Amino acid sequence: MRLLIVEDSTVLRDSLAQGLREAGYAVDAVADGKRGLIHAQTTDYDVIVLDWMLPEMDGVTMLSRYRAWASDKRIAGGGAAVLMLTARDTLDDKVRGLTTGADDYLVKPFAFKELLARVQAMTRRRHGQSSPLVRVGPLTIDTAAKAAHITRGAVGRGGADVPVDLSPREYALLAYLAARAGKPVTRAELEEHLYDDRSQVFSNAIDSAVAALRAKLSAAGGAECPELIHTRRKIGYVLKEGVP
Amino acid sequence: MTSIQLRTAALVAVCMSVLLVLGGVVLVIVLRRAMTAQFDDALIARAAALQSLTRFDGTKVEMDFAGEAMPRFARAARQPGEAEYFVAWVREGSEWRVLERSESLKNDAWPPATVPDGPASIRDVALPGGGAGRAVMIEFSAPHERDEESEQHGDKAAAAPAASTAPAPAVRLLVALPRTPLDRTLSVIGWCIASVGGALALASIAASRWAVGRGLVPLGDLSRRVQSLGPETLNARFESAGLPAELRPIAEQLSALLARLEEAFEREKRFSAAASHELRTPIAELRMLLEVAASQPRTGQEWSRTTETALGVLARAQSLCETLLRLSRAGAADPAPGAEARTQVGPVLTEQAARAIAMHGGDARLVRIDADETLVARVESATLAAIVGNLLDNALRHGDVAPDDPVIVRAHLVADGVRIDITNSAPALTNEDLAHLFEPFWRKDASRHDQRGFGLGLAVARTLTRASGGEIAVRHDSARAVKFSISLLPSDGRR
Repeated sequence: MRLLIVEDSTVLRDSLAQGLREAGYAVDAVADGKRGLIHAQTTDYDVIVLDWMLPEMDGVTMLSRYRAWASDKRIAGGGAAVLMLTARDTLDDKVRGLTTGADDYLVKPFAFKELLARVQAMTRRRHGQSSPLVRVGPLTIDTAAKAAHITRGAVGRGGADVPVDLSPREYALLAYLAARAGKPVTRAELEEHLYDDRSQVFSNAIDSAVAALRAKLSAAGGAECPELIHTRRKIGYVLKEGVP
Repeated sequence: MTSIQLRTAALVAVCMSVLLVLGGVVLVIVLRRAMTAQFDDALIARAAALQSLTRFDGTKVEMDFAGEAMPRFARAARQPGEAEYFVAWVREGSEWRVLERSESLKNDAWPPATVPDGPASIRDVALPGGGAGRAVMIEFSAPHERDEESEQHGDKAAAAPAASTAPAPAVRLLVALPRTPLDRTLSVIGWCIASVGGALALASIAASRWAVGRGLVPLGDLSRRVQSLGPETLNARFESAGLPAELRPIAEQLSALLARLEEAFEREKRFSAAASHELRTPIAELRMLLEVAASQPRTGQEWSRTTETALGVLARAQSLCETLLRLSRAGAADPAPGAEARTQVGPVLTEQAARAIAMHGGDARLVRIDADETLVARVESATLAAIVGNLLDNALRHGDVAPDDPVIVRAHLVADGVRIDITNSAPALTNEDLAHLFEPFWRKDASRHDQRGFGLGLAVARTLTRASGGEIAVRHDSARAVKFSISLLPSDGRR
């Protein structure tokens, strides 16, 4: 999942970006509203963490322009989910923030765990998931714990759960495919959602990551485990149980 | 009683009731007197009629009273107020002998006392029947029978009394009439007046309440509008046109007060929101920094970097708190400096310019000072340094200052004290911005994380200037430049 942080406090912006990257997200961070709007319009972010009081263009203005742009472009769901961050804590401020187009509101100072939980909930909602557990055949992904396991034997009838040991990047890849389970995902889309502006992405990075992921799923699932990640020629990949 | 309407209505009703009572009493007294006088006239007329029945034939006095002609004297009273009474006495030597008594007296020994000694005025008496009456006593000499006959025939010569004729003895006549009809009429009139007065008094209560209520409608409206005022309705104003003259100044003053209150309220709200934001930001930064750092195992170098960043945040928070404290203390300071607070302005300007230049790159051409070194103002040296220092920092941080377009500081004597003008280029500032420049935490940019300051410097400068008995103002000196003018008390403290 890829996030955008628009926050003018250097300390807060850097800390947030670091924490969210360590939580497995691809994170871009900018310091003002104008650059935030440009980023939001050029990259398909899953969540935007947006400060209210920003230089150049305040957060509310940026948000309303972004929503208007997404509406003009007929982007599904009106674009990324937006979590508004601010020290303004009056009811009027919250109402104004939410009516402008924010999906959630967090008053400073806040706990990082709370922000993380809200970001996770927002990404789930964005991909139409109501539960943090995503099941694809014998594979279960816990988006809250950021872990996955494969059930050997009959699922739900006393089968053994074997954890899949994943790196943060591999987990992010699996989580994104799981969020779009059953639907093909292009390499470009995967690149856009898994790598931020700081990442150096090689041309075969996605293929390599998918190969590594397949190997780990196969190792955890054993010989009986069916193929879960299927290749769609000239398109990309799809996560589903059985024949593609 | 807390309601003006009720109080005024009660006062009006009481006044009207008192006036009605007084009017009724006066009316009763006047009527009583008039009717009593009328009654007395009737009494005297009766007495005169009885007097005309008295004759003296030269030897004795006779009274030719016929009961048929005056039946009320003839019959006894069946009820109080029906019968009338008279007694006539004639003088015989030194005694008074009863000459005639009305039949109505029957055998009653009336008057009960001895015969009145001499004629008296009309008075109230107790009648034989037990009722109250009014009596008149007249004394006269009975006319000669011959004289009367001569007068009747018009023989004036014969009317002259003969010298040989004996003088007629004196006669006293006491006539009494019952005053029951008079008292009854007076009683009826009294009750009528009392009833009408009472009804009018009751009606006056209702009428006064209605009238006062109608009269106080504008006051009631004003009161309701004042009651509806709250922090959310401070933008309300009272329209004075159409209000009564008494309420117009109140409405105008209230509107002016509300305008000032709204302005102060908004200013306070902005200050609270900004202070809250400024104080929360470093807390949020520290919390996020430490929580993220603690969420993973870190190397010593990473912890060292985190600690360094945290200390930087703390230093900024400390600076903010100290500035806020300075602002608060300056606001609470005595309004006028003492006589000993005499400061030579020039050296302070030079010292602060050097400090500000050092902080902003060290190019001495950034500030130009034009001041009389001997100029003295009534202000504490440290206070003047803080005022000028804040203004110079503001100019160098936010102004469009360059070696060929420096900050110009000019100090000079004016009629009412010492003036220090600080002028610098600031093309981005609009006239609307100038109105907010001295507000705490105000910055042209909405961002609150501008590392160039908290937006408190100008607020501190103004508070300190006012605490020193001076004033500070800002205006556009040209399209590009702004000029801050600090007015300070002269060295003798007199304007």
